[in-house]
Amino acid sequence: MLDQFFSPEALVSDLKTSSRALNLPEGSVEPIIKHTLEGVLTWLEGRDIITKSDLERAVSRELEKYSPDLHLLYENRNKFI
Amino acid sequence: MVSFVFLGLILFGTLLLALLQLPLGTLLLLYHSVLGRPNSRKNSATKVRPLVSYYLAGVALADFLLLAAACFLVSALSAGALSATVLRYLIFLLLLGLSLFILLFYYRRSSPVRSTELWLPRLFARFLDARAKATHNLPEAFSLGFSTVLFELPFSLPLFLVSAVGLLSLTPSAQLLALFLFTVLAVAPLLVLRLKIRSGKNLADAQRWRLKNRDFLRFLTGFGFFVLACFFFAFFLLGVGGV
Repeated sequence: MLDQFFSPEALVSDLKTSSRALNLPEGSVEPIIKHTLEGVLTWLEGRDIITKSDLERAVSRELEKYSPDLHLLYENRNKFI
Repeated sequence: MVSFVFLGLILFGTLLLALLQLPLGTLLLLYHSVLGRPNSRKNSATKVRPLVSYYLAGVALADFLLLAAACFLVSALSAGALSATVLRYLIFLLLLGLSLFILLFYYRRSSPVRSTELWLPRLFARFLDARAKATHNLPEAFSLGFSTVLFELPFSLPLFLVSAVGLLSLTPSAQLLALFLFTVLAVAPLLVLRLKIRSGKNLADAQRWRLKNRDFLRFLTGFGFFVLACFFFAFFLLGVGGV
């Protein structure tokens, strides 16, 4: 069921696109993505019911710790216009 | 004195047009999609410049043509179906209504995070987003800029009409100058964003600025529409200053 709205591959692809758009150094992007995914997966453990918004908030919370710019673009994806 | 009133009207209309956020937001989408592609960095940077130039050209041409079309509409309607006074009352009411609409609804409030999501129906927003992602060549960038201006028409139409009323009242040589000024000023915020990005600012900086100034810009635009309505009413309906 989780796969229906959470795909780590899609998240990684989105974050890589945004990091390229932000011109972030390639070496710093991989650890940010790795730590973000680990944080989200840890948060997911033991939770039976979550919504898509909960999940997006968790990703956003993790990203905020490592890169304010990536966090801002993630929060504002699909909201530029 | 009278020519200054007309020029002031055109400049005010253009400044309000420049404050509308859809072309700026779509330009950010274009930057995000082109710079985010898995090319080498140098390759992305050289690829994005002509695309942005053509996007700006699309916006400028659409503004230019819409103002010309508005001039035609105003002169045709004034000569035929509607009297000039009725048309001016309609423009005044449109400006007044939109000033309230901008203050209340220009940005969506449904989003759980503070965002720059606009009033635009989501179907149209998704269309522009998909077009920005699919933009790979110059004609596509040009048509993206052109269509963005068309999508903003519910808010920009009275500004084109007001500027057309002002423009038609000028001498032919002044009309050309005003048309040129209108087009340049309308794309000025996009040029500023382009210069900022070229001078080292990134998309997050631009979006952060938009978020920070969102409410101020909304107030400025809404209040600007109201002031323009009052200005239009005083000079073109009450005839203050012999206009």
